[in-house]
Amino acid sequence: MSGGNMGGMSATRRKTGDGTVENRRRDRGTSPFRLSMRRLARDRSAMVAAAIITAFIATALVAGSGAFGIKAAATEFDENSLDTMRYLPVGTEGHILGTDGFGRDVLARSIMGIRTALYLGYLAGLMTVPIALLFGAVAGWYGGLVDDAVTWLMSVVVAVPGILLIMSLIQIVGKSFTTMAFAFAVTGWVGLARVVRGAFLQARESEYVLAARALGAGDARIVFRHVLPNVFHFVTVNFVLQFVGVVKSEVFLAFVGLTLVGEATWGSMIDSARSEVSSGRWQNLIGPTLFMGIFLMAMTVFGDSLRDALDPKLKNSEEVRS
Amino acid sequence: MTGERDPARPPGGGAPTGAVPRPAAPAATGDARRPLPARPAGLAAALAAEAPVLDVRNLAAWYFTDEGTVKAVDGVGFKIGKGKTLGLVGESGCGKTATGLAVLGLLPPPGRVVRGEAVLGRRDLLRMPEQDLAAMRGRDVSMIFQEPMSALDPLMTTGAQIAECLEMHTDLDRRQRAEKAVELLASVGVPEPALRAKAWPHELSGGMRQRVVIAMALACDPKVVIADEPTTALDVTVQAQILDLIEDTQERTGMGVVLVTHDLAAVAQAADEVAVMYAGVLVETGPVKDVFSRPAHPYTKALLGSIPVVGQADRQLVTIPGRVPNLARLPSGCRFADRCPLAEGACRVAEPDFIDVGAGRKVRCILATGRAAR
Repeated sequence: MSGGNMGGMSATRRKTGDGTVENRRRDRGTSPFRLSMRRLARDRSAMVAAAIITAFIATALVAGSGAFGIKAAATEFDENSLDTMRYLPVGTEGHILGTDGFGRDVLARSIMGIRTALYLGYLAGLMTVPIALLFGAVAGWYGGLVDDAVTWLMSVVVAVPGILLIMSLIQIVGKSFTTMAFAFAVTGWVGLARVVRGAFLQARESEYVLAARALGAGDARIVFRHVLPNVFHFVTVNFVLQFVGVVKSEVFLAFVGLTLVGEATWGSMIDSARSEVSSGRWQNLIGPTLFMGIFLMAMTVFGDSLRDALDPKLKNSEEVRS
Repeated sequence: MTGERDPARPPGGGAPTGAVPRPAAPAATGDARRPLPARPAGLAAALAAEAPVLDVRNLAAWYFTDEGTVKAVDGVGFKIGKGKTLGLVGESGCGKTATGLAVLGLLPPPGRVVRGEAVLGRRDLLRMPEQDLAAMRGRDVSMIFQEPMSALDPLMTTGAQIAECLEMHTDLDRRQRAEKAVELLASVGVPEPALRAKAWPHELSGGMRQRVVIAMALACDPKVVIADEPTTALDVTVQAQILDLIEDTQERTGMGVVLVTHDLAAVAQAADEVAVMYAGVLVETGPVKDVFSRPAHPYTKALLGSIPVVGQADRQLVTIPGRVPNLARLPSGCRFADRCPLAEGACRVAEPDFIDVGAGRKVRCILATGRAAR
């Protein structure tokens, strides 16, 4: 802590992270969020990962819109034909990664698989966050018996093998992406809820919450205005890292037969590859594996960097360095 | 200054709830007269001028832990006059902070107020529904915390945090609140207040943050402020500035201040009265000058003797042997007896009473009061 860092606010010339001099008057201080984003921007591997993720998302959006015939090449086949041996090997002209038994382009299907992965991961995250926030916040804030009950519930959910729970849920409710996302949320909320509970326990004892109380703030105001924003970085990081888990689980589910027939997903492709590899047809394995490998690696690297960048303990590191 | 600040308050009875009678400053004497209908008007007015803004009587706040009942505050009483400062001093763990938190109803569990009153205006803060008390916190009585680092929300600009206090207690709209926040920052001596209002806590120095914390506590012109070690975490040079700032504000608004601290120098500088606390009870109270120049209780003497004095390097500093007794298992007699150099057999028999020794002073020590009586 030092008074010296005030210079950054009123100065007209200030050095930015990469050593260039910025010539503009800043009338606002630098928020903790902005500091985090600057830290993230300086992290080279995070930026590479972010670029890869952005490229994947863009590709998925373009392909999903039907442009370049990718969607058609991935899903359409001659329904009247009984020929399921229309395989083309990897490297065929016009089909770089070959085709599957229905003559569908493997590259196009792999690209469409991004869409499924993104959709599932996003939907699962969207469902997980409210559940985890609710349980974690209630347990941490009220403590006592409420906390005991929620902690017990979390232990029970963790004790049941997640994949079994997901499989049975999908069997009961029916196969759909929404069901799958819901199943992932039902099993996946505990990790985030634990973190949120810890953060709320800590916040409840914290001086700024006591200070807000001493100035007349009620529970609702303290929770929504002061505590929730301070736990939100956990939510963001968890969202990204859960993505990885969901995409992997989708493949496993497809492997045990829980997938959507007709949809191009990485899981269903790898599942078909199971019987094809033995006859020397490995296009259905290499396509999704390649895409999934790159995507998951980028997500993991980005998630880790995001966690480092958002860590509130590092809030002043920029001042220390410059 | 006061004139400029007036628009912050809803005029007269314009407050939308009207649940809590809130006398404006000029009407205060008239309101205070009412509980004393038997007295002649002239005398009542004279008394009202002297009436304390905060009157704490026989306050006891205990922590009910698994190891037993910790009597952190065990019968504490004090009064603060308008514009006056009371220094509440004592060692760590003697119940100073618990006293402050108890008055505000913020004692964390398993702590609970078991008896006593804290009268502000005409209402007892300790027997008030939580909702009413929350409405009074920040508006009528507020608190300044020890750690300016952690007392501010790291994700809100200082201006927004000050504006939040105004949002809770006034009718000002968003723009007015932002303007008032800048005004308040200026009034607590923050340079370039308009700029600082848009700064986040991590961009400010410790002294600056403490000023922001004070601005928040003073945002709604409370009648009483409990300042819990407001200078402890700060550099020595900044400490005096902060104390001056609190004093200046008092002169302007007439608020009463409870200065909770273990820093006797701060008390000497800023307080009018001092209350020395030991193991949950007050052992000596009185005007600061008298108590510090002629301490009556052995504990006060020892405290004063433990401060180094510039230019007297060869003077032996007094250390108080032993430690504060376990508040869950207090001795039967005087709580200080085990550490007191003068303790006699009689000291260990019964707890001494808090006896008025004249000149506005009270002492809890059979030896001192015996001598004073002679």
